[in-house]
Amino acid sequence: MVAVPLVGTLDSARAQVVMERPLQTLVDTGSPYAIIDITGVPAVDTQVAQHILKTVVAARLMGADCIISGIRPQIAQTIVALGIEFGDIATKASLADALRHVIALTGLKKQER
Amino acid sequence: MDRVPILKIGDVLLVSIQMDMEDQVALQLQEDLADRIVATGCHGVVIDISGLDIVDSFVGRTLATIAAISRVLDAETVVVGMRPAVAITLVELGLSLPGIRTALNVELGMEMLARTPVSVPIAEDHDDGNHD
Repeated sequence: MVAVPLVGTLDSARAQVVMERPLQTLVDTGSPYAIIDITGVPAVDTQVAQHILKTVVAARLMGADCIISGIRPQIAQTIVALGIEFGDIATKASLADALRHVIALTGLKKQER
Repeated sequence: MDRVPILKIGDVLLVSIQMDMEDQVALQLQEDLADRIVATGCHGVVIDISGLDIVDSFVGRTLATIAAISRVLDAETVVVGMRPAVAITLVELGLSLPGIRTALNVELGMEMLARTPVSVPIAEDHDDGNHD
């Protein structure tokens, strides 16, 4: 799996990097799961949310599953207040939760084989 | 005109696109693939687009059509190896290609096909002959 812990504010230039780097890493490592952890992001506006959503959809197009973790209470409120739909995108409270989720998923697959 | 090669590997047809996908090439592939699925009776199709720098809306739609055609012919389609730039472009275009299954590379795509039960086997007749 690929973990993307985001720390600091995301302006549009950085958001572009945040979009491209993890996707390239997915290709390079061939890992089918990515966790985007936004614990360290102080503020999420519509643009940042939109960028994160685009990254998740792009990862899905490439054949990888993306999980968002570490959404702080204020940010959750902002996201809902802004009317941004996260749809069927998996979200977890903390990075640890997300890791547990992915390990459970991959563990399950190993048993199936 | 260029044609995209279709390789049969076991129960899977592997299509590796290594050229620019022009509209005619895409349509020809759609036709060829439908023929090959019927001819070989394969239950899986893996389309490798790692060689594609550009996937426009037409090619995106053709991929969706190919997936739908394969499903009708009892074959599952997995599109593999989409480049990050291509994925980002498709998202920006608002094309999320619903109905297409994707995997990161050919290996994972093959695995995905191996995991899914391709077709429900016809139930054995467990009749012990007591018809009276």
